[in-house]
Amino acid sequence: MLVTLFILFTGWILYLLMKPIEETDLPVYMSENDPPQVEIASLHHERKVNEVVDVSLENDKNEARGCE
Amino acid sequence: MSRWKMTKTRRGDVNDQMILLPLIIFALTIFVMIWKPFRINETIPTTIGASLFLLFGIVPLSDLLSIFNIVSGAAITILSSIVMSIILESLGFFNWVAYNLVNRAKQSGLKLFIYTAALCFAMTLFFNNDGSILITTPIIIKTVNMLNLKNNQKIAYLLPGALIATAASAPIAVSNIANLIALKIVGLDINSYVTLMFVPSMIGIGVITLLLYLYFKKDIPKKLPNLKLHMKNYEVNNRSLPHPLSIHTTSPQVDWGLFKICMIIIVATRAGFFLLTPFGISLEWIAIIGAAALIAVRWFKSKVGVKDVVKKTPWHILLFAFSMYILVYGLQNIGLTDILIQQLSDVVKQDRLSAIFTMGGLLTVLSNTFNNLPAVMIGTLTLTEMDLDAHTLQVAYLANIIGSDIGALLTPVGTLATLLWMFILREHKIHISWKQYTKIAFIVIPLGLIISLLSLYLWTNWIFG
Repeated sequence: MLVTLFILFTGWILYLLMKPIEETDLPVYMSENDPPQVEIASLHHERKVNEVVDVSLENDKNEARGCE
Repeated sequence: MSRWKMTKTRRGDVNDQMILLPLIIFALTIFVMIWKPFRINETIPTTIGASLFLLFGIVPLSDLLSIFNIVSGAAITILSSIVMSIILESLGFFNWVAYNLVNRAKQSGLKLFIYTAALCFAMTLFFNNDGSILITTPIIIKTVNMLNLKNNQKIAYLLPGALIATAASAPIAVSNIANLIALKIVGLDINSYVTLMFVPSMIGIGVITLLLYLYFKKDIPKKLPNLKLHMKNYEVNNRSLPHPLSIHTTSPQVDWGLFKICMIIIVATRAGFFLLTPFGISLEWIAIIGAAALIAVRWFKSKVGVKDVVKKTPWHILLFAFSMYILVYGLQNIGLTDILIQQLSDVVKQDRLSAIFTMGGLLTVLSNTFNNLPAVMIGTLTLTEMDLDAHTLQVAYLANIIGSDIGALLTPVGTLATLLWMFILREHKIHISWKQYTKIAFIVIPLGLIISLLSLYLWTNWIFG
């Protein structure tokens, strides 16, 4: 019986690891110091926003190249 | 009775040539199976070796049916779990795991380590060890490539994942074909197996995970790069760093409602092994029903038939297990197990602690010499002929499993899963040499093995009273 509970628990863990986090939940995981996020989908439509995002993402790309 | 059986029964008249030929065939078969020249499937050398054993009468044809009965159930159970993973893959459910690992880690290197370890453990628990390596290694490679980690940092996630995935086949027996065959030989049911084995093997896996973390602590980044991954900029089929501005208007649509149903079926099938076998329902039938339910659900929801499943399922596993058992049965016929019995019987019969450490140690050596699949079969056949009392037979068999699942990790030769892992890494140009692997394994595995065996002794003493 206990092993069945363990299987259910591990199944739940596997479910969480496989099911993508909803887009709406993502900002929660960003640190406070990060540059403001812009909804990427909106870049299709707003050229002005695109320019602003380019700057912030360029910084992020530099960050992403090395890790502590 | 074949002339090989005569050799076995009349030990005084042992003809060296009659022993030498099967040993050479066996050694060559295992060598080619591990070496895999021209990337040949491991079933080819084992089938050729087994055919030679039959041709020379080392294993009489009359024994084939009983050998088939022993291996077929285990092979069908493993094949069914592979079918389940093929269906999940076909529905695209594994494509998002790397995305999820990165986002859930919240830029913490330690969290990513824990999540990759949990993923590898769970995948083995629900599918099987080789399947787990085949699925999780590309996922972890994708994750570490997206994060643009250095080679040593990549190994800090990949090697623990591989070791944990392989060792995770010990706790519940159904994740490894060798364990299932051995279970059938000693006549132990899976509920008794789990009662005796779950706690010691989980302690062993816990110790190994902790030691791996301590070893790789300096290589695991404290803070991971912030990728700002969204479902729309995540490259499902690309293993490289996603461009932050890339948007996939045609990103594959995944039916997450179907995913929930599939997960319920997979978990229910695994739980069914323990809940239904006491009622006399065999493991392979529960596994077949689980796989058939997944196929039916996929067909009902997306009208996809079974063609891809039939094509992708590695049916040769049935032949592989069958031919490997013929080889081991042949070694038993020429008296190899008799030699082991003569040498080890007194020590194993001494007390349970001696039995556990002798068999655990023996299986570690045998597995790292010629792979754990034949090793566990030889070890189990040896035990069944030692005339042991029921409790000693059970604990010595479980020590065999710890030796073949945990002790076998000392070198890449020990398990097919680790060989497979090395191969996948090479394909993805991630460098780890056999020397590097063995150096890390020799730091981590012996302590994990000793603690597992000691836990088995204490736990079974407590259970048996």
